[in-house]
Amino acid sequence: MADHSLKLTFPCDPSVLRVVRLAASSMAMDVGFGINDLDDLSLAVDELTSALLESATGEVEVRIVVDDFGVTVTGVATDSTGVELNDLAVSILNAATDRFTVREDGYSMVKLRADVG
Amino acid sequence: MPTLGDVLEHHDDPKVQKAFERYAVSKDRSLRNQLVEVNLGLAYHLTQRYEGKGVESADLRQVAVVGLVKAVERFDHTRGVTFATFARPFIVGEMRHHFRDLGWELHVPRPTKERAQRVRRSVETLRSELGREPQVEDVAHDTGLTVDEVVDALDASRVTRTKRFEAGGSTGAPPEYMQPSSPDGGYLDVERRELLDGLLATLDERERHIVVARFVDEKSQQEIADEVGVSQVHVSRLLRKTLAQLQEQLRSTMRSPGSDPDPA
Repeated sequence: MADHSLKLTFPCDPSVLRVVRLAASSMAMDVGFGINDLDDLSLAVDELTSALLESATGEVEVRIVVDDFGVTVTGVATDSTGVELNDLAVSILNAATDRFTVREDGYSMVKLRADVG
Repeated sequence: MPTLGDVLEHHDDPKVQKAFERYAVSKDRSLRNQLVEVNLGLAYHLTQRYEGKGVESADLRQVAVVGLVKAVERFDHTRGVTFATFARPFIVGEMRHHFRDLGWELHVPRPTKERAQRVRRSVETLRSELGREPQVEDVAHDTGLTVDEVVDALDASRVTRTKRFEAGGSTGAPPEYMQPSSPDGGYLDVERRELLDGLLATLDERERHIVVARFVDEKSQQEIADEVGVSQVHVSRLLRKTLAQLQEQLRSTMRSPGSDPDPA
């Protein structure tokens, strides 16, 4: 299948977290993610996006891309003061994602389908 | 309580590694239970940071073991991570689920809660029936919900943010999940408070005392047990039974003529 992508732009408000999680889960479901993988994806998106929201005050942009292999989520806030993850969050992300990185202005993460990863 | 050193000591044990390899192939239940048993120290170790936050140690340990079982069932020894690293989020996540569930009645709309419970039950059933992790479509077919409703329900029962969970840690205040919703910000508006008061009035004196002590006065189950003169386990059972009773009454109330929110 061709890549599908979705870009969400929203203010720094924790109430949007659920929208981001639902969007990522819905798109991942379409490429064959099972319940456990959806759970992991949602958990990871929640951790990273929360950290991004806490680092910024202005507008946040999250982009979700799915393909045959899995899901890539990136989040950016231009006024971010640096995304910080505590030890527990890092531990969760190590287990729940196949790859994640945080930068001064955002994050990116990859979650592969179970039969691919 | 085991130290982290004690916990991690046996993880390089070739016998344990072999057992994980055998379990990956056989999915033998008794072997799974042995693996759970040998890793109990890890689960108990992880409960330490969450003690003193309103949940009894015994309850917390039980919940941690549930997370441990999930981790053993899902561990893939070929991925190159240790079991301790893999299992930690499952165990911690399960404890956070537990804290969230305690505040569930106050924070989540009834229909969403019911759907989430149906979905969770369906996932468990399908997991054993199908012998694999169910897909969202499987759950939708089994429950009669749409796939969007299933995704929504899964999200509703999902772990939320680490820092919110840990908020009580530094201040001594209870976690956010256990705090009542603000009158203007949560679901518990004035009308619902009146409804809740009416429901509480239907309980006998001891049941009402336990519910109020737990969810209004935020006392621990052990404190309540000491007051009432029963075991903490008994208080836990009474709370579960009473909450189920309240839920059923609430459901009946919502179904009664003139109050049905969905007349169709």
